[in-house]
Amino acid sequence: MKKILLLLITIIFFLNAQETNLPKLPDLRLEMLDGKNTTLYSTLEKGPVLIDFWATWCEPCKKEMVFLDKFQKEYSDSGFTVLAINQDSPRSLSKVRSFVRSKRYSFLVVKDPNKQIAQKMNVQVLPTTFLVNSTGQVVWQHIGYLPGDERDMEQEILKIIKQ
Amino acid sequence: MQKISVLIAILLFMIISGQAYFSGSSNLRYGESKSGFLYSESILNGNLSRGNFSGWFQLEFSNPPELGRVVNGLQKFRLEYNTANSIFKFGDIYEIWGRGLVLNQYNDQAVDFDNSLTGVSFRNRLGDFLDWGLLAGNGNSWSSELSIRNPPFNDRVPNYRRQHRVIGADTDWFIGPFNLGVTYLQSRERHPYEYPNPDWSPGEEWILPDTALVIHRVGGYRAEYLSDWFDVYLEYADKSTHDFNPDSVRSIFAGSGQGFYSNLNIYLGAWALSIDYKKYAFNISDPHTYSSATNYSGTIGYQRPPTAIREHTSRLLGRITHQVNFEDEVGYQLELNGPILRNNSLVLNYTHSSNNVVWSQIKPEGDIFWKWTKSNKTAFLPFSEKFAQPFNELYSEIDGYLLSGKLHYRLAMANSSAVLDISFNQVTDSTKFIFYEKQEAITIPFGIEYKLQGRLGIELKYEYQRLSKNFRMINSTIDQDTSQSRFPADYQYNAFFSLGVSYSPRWSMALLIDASSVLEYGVNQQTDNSNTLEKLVSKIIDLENRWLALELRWNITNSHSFTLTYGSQQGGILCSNGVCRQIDSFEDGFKFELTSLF
Repeated sequence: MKKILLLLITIIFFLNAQETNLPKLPDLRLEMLDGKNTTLYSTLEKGPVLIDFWATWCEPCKKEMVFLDKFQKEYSDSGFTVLAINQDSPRSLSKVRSFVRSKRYSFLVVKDPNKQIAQKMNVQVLPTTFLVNSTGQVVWQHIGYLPGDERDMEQEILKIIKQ
Repeated sequence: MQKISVLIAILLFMIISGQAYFSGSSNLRYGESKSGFLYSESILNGNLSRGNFSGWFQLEFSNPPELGRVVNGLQKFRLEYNTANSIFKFGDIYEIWGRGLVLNQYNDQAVDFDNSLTGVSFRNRLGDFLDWGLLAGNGNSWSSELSIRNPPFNDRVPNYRRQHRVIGADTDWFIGPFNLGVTYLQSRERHPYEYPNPDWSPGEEWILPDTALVIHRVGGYRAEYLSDWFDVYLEYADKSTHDFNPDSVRSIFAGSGQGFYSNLNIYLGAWALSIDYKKYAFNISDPHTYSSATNYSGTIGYQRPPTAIREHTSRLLGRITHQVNFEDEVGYQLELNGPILRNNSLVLNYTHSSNNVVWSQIKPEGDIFWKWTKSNKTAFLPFSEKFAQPFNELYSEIDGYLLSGKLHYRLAMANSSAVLDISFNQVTDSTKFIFYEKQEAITIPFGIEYKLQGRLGIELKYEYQRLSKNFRMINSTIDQDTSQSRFPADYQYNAFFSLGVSYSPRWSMALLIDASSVLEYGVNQQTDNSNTLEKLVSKIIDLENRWLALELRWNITNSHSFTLTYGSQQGGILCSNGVCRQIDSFEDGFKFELTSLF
């Protein structure tokens, strides 16, 4: 009975989850890689934010990050920010800063070693990407990364910047 | 059911009473194979927020899960109240203090690991100078224990439970670029232990009638310094353990141990040198003391310190990952990371670890049994001596983009060796009897991904591994010096191949072939090559000891992803977040997974 109930709930959410009806995010406390603290809403004051969940052991994440860096460099003048939320546990946390520095990535990196931000944003797999407007409303989200996904991502970024 | 009702009432109240934001996700997984491997897991996460309040819950219906116990109903929930400087949590708590030598809580469904506490926590920040927190709660930790006979050992379902009552406090001081932390955690535990059943009956020869009451106290200190060209992190933990059950039939015991971890990163332009050092000596026990169910002095389930070994993404390297012994291990890791040429990067990594002591056996005068003894020398650096169970790995990797960024490649090589087990080290002036197991491997993972015109992409991966596992025995009494392989040959040659095609952003498909030249003695991994895919391919290639599978992924929308896998998959060790599990092989079956964000 419980299984059927859960299946029904899932199907209802599945059918109702339209791309136009995405959630609004709560304000989240963020601890940056350089030790400084900030919040999601203070980052949103500058403009839209692309939130990406990644880890150093996630190969598709690393492929996607090359494009995230490109977007950060190209669109930061328009108030756009990329926020890369790292999911490495203490097991590999010491490698995160050196990885980001060696790739010369310019976007902001946030630590989430016990996946509490990921839990609040319902992240199940890596990478998962959210594009959030300056009011905290998710306007686009995407699970995983396939080569070519960056095209759609860029289109969505341009759309939100023009708004 | 009561918990669900309370939760629903709270959620409804929050939604009805005003502007509440709700988001959620679901993950449905199902798998069934001809070899009898069956699982069905449904997990639903929900997050709700309104003003300063937020709530999270997780419903799980798993019967049976892929790993772990059957769960039906509300699995987790938490309510939070946030202000600008404080956060109060009630429910299932996950916290991390420092790098986890004292407390590191997380949930990893893939390996059935969850060390949360049900209770309360409070954290407050006083200006830019001090951040402090308190924690109290109850928790259970489960494990599969060979030494427990009732219920018997099962590698999918844990058979042993410890109960914890935990309190703790944590502080962080910020002084310019320095961050200093002090931590204290206390865990009162109930360890059931078994003894022969007086009413001896088949299947119930052993029972768990009594409980060892154990108290652990862990104090921790940490310091961090961050600058543009280097950063350094140091953490030390000191643990003591006492038995506090006066009525126990067991003898009273007390134990203590320490752990230290440090990390130094030095940056020179885009190059980074990372040095990790660990010295974990929480519970140094002789090589024949295996069971954590009867050895109460060990680390508690909330201590998950850094492993200081490289976390691999390669499938074949993942199967031979070194299983770090948090009770007794000293070691270091050096990693150099930086760009070479244009759009290429290089990683060089060397890891070396061992036990803190070298073990040998002596026979006291008049005694008939040999007794394990530790070397007097306490190691600052790891030993290479085999009776300290050394582990070494040299890993190099180059990856980058070619052909105007259309081709991504990755080529790596790992050379590793480890002493897995030491059984006898009895050396006298006139005799020598030693017995140990050693593993050596060379692994070469390679992969390329090419973006075709439009949204099409192809990906090819190939991994090669030469693996040896040998029991080495020297017995001077009978003039024997032998090396016995765990395989029917000196080496096991493993290969993993995958060929995939994708069309962004909607679908991808991959053919996966896993092959081993020979199988390990005593491991039931024989493939019967009976699935339709294997029948088709067997006309082209010999399929002995090969596992074939086809994986299809369909991104129904940007928020819903469906994966279907058909075929067979080799079993072996699955490691994640420092926890490893032995996974059975999956023969001729299908798995599906539906992940949704809403």
